[in-house]
Amino acid sequence: MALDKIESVGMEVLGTSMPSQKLSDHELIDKTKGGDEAAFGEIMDRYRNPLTNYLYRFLNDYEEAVDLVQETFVRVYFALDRYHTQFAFSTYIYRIATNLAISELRRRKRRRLLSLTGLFQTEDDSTVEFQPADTRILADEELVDEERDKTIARAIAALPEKYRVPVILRDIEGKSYDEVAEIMQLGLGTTKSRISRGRGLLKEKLEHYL
Amino acid sequence: MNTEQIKENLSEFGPDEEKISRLLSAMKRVEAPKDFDFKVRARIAAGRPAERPAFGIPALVRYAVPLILLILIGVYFGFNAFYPNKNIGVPEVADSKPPMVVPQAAPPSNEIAVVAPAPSVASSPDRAAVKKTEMPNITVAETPLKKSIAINKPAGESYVEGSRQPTILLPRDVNANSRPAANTKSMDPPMQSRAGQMFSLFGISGTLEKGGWRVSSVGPDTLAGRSGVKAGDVIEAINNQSVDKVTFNGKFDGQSLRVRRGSETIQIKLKN
Repeated sequence: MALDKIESVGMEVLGTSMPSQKLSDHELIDKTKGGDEAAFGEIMDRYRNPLTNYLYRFLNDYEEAVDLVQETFVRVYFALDRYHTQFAFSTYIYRIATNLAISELRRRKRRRLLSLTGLFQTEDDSTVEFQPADTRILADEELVDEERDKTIARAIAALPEKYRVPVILRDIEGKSYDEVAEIMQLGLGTTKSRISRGRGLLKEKLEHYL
Repeated sequence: MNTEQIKENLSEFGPDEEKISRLLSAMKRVEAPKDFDFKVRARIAAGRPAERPAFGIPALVRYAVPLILLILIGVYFGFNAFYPNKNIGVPEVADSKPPMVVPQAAPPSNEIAVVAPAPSVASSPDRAAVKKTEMPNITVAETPLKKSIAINKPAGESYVEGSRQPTILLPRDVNANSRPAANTKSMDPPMQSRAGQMFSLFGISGTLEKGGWRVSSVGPDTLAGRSGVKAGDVIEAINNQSVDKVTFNGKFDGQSLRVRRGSETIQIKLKN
């Protein structure tokens, strides 16, 4: 991926006017390596919300998603010396987050296999949806939207892992096909085919909303 | 998702996929909590992230233990498949082979059968106790071949099961695999077996030679041992009757042995 593309992604994410706004991800990393803790804070500002949203849609569990995004930043911090700037930082950090999330899903599966109650638990029961306390009286439209989001989230969570990741990256996170292919370390054709197949599976479940 | 991306979608995929894409991109976005940075910095301050071990068991143990167990189980069943009836732990004297007491050439009338000892002796696990009581219980009887086998094969049981019955008094050298010694070509095989049976009951093991029975070893707490028979002796006669001519008519009533020890010949009185 071209460096200017990475920077533009970073800028979109940031969306605030700060002095470091002009710095690219790579420059911020170099500063962090030089001991500038504020630069690492800037990287966190750029990626914490997109990554949290990505992993939340992937795992359908807000607490776990936040925990794994924190873990992602910790790993990035300790691996900065090994990071090579020939790779786009956004691809790098998304790949780490994806791998952690996949490991977490597999761990959940093992736990479910070992737990007696888990044997009778469905995929939907095992996930905890993020429901922040909200005392406002919701308008009908909001209620409908919320219900729709929950249904879509459940449909995404029910997708097989290999379709879920590219669909979220492409349609929710707005990554280009090239970026998705790089994050998943797949060919462009395979990536497009998986996205298409994932959308097809979602269509079957979300027919009502189309 | 911006307009260009949607256009890209439309150009490559159908309208249904585009609708799905719009539906997903319209979902509410969630954000990280406010204390996110603080928690990340706290984790960084705590040190490098530790790998989460599955169930707290090191990877090596997790894979090695089941593997070793599988190998052990495989070896156990494999061993049993190749050596099904080794009777490990069964006393040596209890041969697991079907006790073919008499070679088939022998006439049934001359067959020697060892009557099974009294149940009290048979059920005793102590071999020494069996040895002490074996002499009074021994009778040598003329019985047909089938009966002699029946001793070791209780009705309704297999030979293997029968071999686990108290057959301690049965001499080891008397079975289907026994062969006459090389230097006893002139000896009658049934005679050799009969003499072998009798001497093993005394506690003597050895081989028949021309002119007598050469003793190779003597049990210390046996009739022969107590009477003074020693390894190397050649037993020439029982009750002054030559070993190769002696006959046992239903009961053994030997009183003395004529033994050649080196160059001298001595008479040994049997002491019970």
